[in-house]
Amino acid sequence: MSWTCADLRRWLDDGRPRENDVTAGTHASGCPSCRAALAAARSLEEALVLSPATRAPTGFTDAVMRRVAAAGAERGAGAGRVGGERVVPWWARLAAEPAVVVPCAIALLLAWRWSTVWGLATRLSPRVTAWAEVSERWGGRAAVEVGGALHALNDPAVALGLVLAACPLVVWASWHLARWSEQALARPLVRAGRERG
Amino acid sequence: MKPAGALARSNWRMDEPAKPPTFADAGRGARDPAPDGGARADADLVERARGGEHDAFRALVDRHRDHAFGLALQITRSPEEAEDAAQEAFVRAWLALPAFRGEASFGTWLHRIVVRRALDHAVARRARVSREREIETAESLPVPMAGAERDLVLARRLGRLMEDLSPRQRAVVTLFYREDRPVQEIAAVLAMPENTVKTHLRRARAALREAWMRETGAAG
Repeated sequence: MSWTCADLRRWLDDGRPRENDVTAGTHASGCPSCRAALAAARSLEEALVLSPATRAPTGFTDAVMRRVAAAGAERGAGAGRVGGERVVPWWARLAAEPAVVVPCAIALLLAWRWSTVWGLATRLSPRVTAWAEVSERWGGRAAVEVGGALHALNDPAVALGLVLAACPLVVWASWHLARWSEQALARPLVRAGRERG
Repeated sequence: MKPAGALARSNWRMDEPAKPPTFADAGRGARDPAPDGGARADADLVERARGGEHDAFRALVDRHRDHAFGLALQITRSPEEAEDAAQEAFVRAWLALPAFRGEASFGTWLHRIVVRRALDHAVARRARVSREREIETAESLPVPMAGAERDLVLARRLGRLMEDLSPRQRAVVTLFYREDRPVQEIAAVLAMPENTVKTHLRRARAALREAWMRETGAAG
């Protein structure tokens, strides 16, 4: 099959697929303008591949690291980090993180006075039941269901189940709260450091 | 603001034309400052940088800066914009390091960020800068320092012609020829359908070839 000039131009535009090399060569050999176009395409591709290698400007790395430090101060490459380095001392982070302090305090309290806490819940239970009875008269079935659910907390298995279900939520919320509090503390420290430095 | 071309004249330069190393080459050590490094060294540095080590990230910047800048320069055709885009890409890479899962090499991952940043800069610049200014900047691009005279002439001529392409066409042509990337990967990097990439390539080839023939005729 012989080609027209338009066929050859399309072939060149498609990046000279190899399967039509012979057909294209046959046409170009008898057509000066297509021969010139083919030669131009070849030298152009050669130039495209031979694009000069370049070197980054001097001071490029330092400029990047300055921008990294600035971005770290604003957004944090990790909470409380600037340019990858911690700027908040561990004791300050611990003190600033209610997400760490509050659960620890609650856990200590539970461990120390578990029987007291459990007793308090048990004492609360009759009141809950009484509230449910009153609500039944005024509020109907919904109130009874709520009262019944609260009463079920007396069952240790139900209480354990609720605690286990709440664990992932507490961990997730604690992690975010910890990051937020550390970043909140890091900003003034970074600002103070910049003013000093 | 830096005057146009000041950077080009002052502190960066072109080397002799040669098949430039790709990011993958950097990973294999083609331009590796530490010859025993390569992808493994990159992976170690990335791991340390993820742990917050400042010096590890600095080493990564040192290893990849030349190629990042060169790639951005090919797409933006402006030394200032290229420097800014490449620096932004490194900053974004730093901020995104905690999310970097290592499915691709660091070089490939960075390469994508550089291309996107450079393309954004090129599109914004095209809207901002007048045609006359573009020509001025093209003329202020660095003078090659060494190499075969013919290759230098080709490189300079190509640089002028690339100015006439749209930023997206420049990005596609650069990735396809200079970076030796397949169409599928270019489509993924530039977030465009493969057929769009092929269309850009076809139009760019046709435009460059016609201009190349005109120039050759004028020169000859």
